[in-house]
Amino acid sequence: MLFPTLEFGLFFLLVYAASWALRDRLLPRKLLLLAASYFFYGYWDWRFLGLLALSSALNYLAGAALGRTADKRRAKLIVTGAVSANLIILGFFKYYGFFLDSLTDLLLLLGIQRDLPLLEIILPIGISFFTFQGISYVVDLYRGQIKPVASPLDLFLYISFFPQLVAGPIVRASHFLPQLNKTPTLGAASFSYGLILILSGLFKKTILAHYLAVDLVDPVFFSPSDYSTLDLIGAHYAYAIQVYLDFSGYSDIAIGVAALLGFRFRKNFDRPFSAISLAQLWQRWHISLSTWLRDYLYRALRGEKKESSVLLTYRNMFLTMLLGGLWHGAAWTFIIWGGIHGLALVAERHIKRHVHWPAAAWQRHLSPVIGWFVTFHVFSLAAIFFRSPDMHIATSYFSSMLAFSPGIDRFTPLMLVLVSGVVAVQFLPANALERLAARGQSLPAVLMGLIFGSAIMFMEAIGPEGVAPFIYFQF
Amino acid sequence: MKTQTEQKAGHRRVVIRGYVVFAVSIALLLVFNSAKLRSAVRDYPANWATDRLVLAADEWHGWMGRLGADQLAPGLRAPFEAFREWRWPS
Repeated sequence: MLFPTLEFGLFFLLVYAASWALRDRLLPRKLLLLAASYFFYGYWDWRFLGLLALSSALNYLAGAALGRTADKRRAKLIVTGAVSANLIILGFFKYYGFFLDSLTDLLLLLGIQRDLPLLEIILPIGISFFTFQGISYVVDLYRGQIKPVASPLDLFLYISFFPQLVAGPIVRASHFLPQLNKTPTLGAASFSYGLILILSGLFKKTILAHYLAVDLVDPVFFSPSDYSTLDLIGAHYAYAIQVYLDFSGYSDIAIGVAALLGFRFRKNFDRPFSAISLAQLWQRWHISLSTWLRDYLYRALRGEKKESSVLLTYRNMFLTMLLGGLWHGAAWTFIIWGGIHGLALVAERHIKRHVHWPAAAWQRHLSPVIGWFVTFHVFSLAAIFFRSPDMHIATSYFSSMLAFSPGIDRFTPLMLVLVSGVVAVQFLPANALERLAARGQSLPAVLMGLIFGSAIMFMEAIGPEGVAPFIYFQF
Repeated sequence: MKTQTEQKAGHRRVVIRGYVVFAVSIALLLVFNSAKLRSAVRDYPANWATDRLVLAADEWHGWMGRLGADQLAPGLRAPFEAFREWRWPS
């Protein structure tokens, strides 16, 4: 069930009414939200409901075992087993085909022809997100940052809660579980903020990301050699913006829907294209994944030592980004994308350590501009690999871009307005939406309904028939 | 500090406010966007219930058409499409 559909609208209205009717009865409310979440997930493919339940049961049992043991070695064994089991499930669905194809190619190179066991594996939607949440639960328990859940229901709901189930944000158990066990309230500010986030997310996804994709990005990336240099330059900017709009749009709707049900989720994107360094961009982009990688992957690579050598720090930064690339997909294009970001982050850190910038006033003003320009271009150029279905298209894109062929066909005035408009909005104050929500909360309900309805009607009027799945569903 | 009763009353007002907001929005969409409703219900697999839904949506769209309410969406789309088709001078 996609967010911007009639089905989801009706589903949400029923859940909203029922969950608030059960506000004072925590157990029935949790059961309702769990049933709604399983219905939401099963609407795509009911066959994967068992996998969702298995993942939840696995982490619940590991958590219960961790809660019962005081022996550090045994606890380490349990957490290693639980994390490995989570990763094996994720790895099987995500990487089986990739490794089998790579192994077949390698064997052929060596002159060996073997019939390997081919399986047509469908990637269960949202598998990465619920696996990451499961891992964060058992690791946080092991680190003593949280206590085991009192009831399996809490953990099953934490793993499957429908607003963030299929594409994040990745919610931490320490943030979500306490919210489950207190009587929820819906404040006027939260309600208004939830509505604004839903509108913002719908607009980003159904209008902005959609037209960037269908009018420019999709055709140009389908056959880059057919387009002029200006179209190719425009399309690579447009794709960076499209991914941001698509993904942050989903996050906005998820956080907004959760807010209307009385749950508070943290921001997942914070104007990443206003960043003046790559490190800053990654602190603002898909914040829940970046912090997850920092806390569970980078920290695991670094080990218990807080201080490590510069070279080890660089290695860990690079490996974190490389594995982050591999998480996006089992393809060389994603690995190269991760590698570019890893190298660029290392280079940036190295330059900051060793190059001392001149202190003249004009240079102090200029350096953020240069920093922004370089950051945006590293991100958008690397995104060519991210978007290309294979290495052939990626190399063709770069060579066509450097061919300096004249003309401009797809990068229309509308595309220019969308790209530059989205970048300009990134420089608004961080709390612009919250301020808008604070103003909206005092409006009469009927007027608020007219504004909300008119905004949706406007999007329906200029938007497409139907809606494409969110890009991050595939991850 | 608000008492628990005041908090509960405040919370209930917001939840009811939510019902009003959603009701007004749905009414607005039903009146001015009946074409999208009609096309959405046509996408459902055909059966006894969806056949009736399609008939009802058709009839509703017909009424809105007679009132002229179905002209708003195309009116909004036309200038957007004109801008979308606009090209740089060659």
